Amino acid sequence: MRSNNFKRLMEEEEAKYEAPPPKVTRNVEQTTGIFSFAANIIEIFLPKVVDVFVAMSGGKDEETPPKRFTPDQGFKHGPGKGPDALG
Amino acid sequence: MQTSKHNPIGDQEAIERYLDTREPAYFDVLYRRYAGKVYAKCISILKDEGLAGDATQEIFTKVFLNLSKFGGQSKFSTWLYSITYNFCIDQVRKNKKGKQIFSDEMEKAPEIEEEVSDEEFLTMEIERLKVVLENLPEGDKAILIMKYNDDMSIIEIAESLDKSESAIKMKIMRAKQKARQIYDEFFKAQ
Repeated sequence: MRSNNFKRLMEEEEAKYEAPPPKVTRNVEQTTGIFSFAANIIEIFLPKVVDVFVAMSGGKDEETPPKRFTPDQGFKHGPGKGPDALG
Repeated sequence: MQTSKHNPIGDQEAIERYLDTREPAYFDVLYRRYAGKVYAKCISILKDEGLAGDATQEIFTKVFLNLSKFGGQSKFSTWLYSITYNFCIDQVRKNKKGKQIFSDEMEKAPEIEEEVSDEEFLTMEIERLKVVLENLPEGDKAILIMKYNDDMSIIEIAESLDKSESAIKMKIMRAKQKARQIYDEFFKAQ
């Protein structure tokens, strides 16, 4: 293998600095902590916020079928013969 | 965290676990592994411990925010060091307010009489090499570290500095020429 004093010199330089000053590490940890926390909050609450806006704008949750009236069973979920159908 | 000193997880695994779980401890594995190296590289280019500390902080924040963009085509260390050199070169450019930091961009670029061989450059005595590097323009130094210390290929250097391969070859050639010029100025008489 060919000699590489350049690499040796850089390794010597790097060996002097095992880690950056503690202040830098603290700041990086704080930043990553804040961003992770914010990401979690967004992940948990964003879908609910969207639901709220949909509800406020008069939209409906399409997964829940509207209650329908049937003469024999009263109000129940899901498609069925409602009052309109009776008329 | 599921790591131990005896069985440390690899870079790629730490990245994947972080992206899956968003658990900062996995990013911390990468930080602990590379922070010293990044800091040392920043010092060697910026020549100031305070600036190097700030740069290290910004580089790791940048890496943290862009971790999902790391495609895994290269080693994580290569990607990280590319960001480091780019950041440092930008910082030097800002601080020098437009002055050129690569020999091949300077008005008095060294004449290329004959190419300096890798052998000649890499076998310089360590103490002398240290003096040469201290006196090299920052851009030249960065590009030589990428090539001869980090073993980055010409293509990798070109991609990370957003230059063509031929431009990078020219920069390396000029940087070695400049290194020889500095060496001669300091040590030829001895």
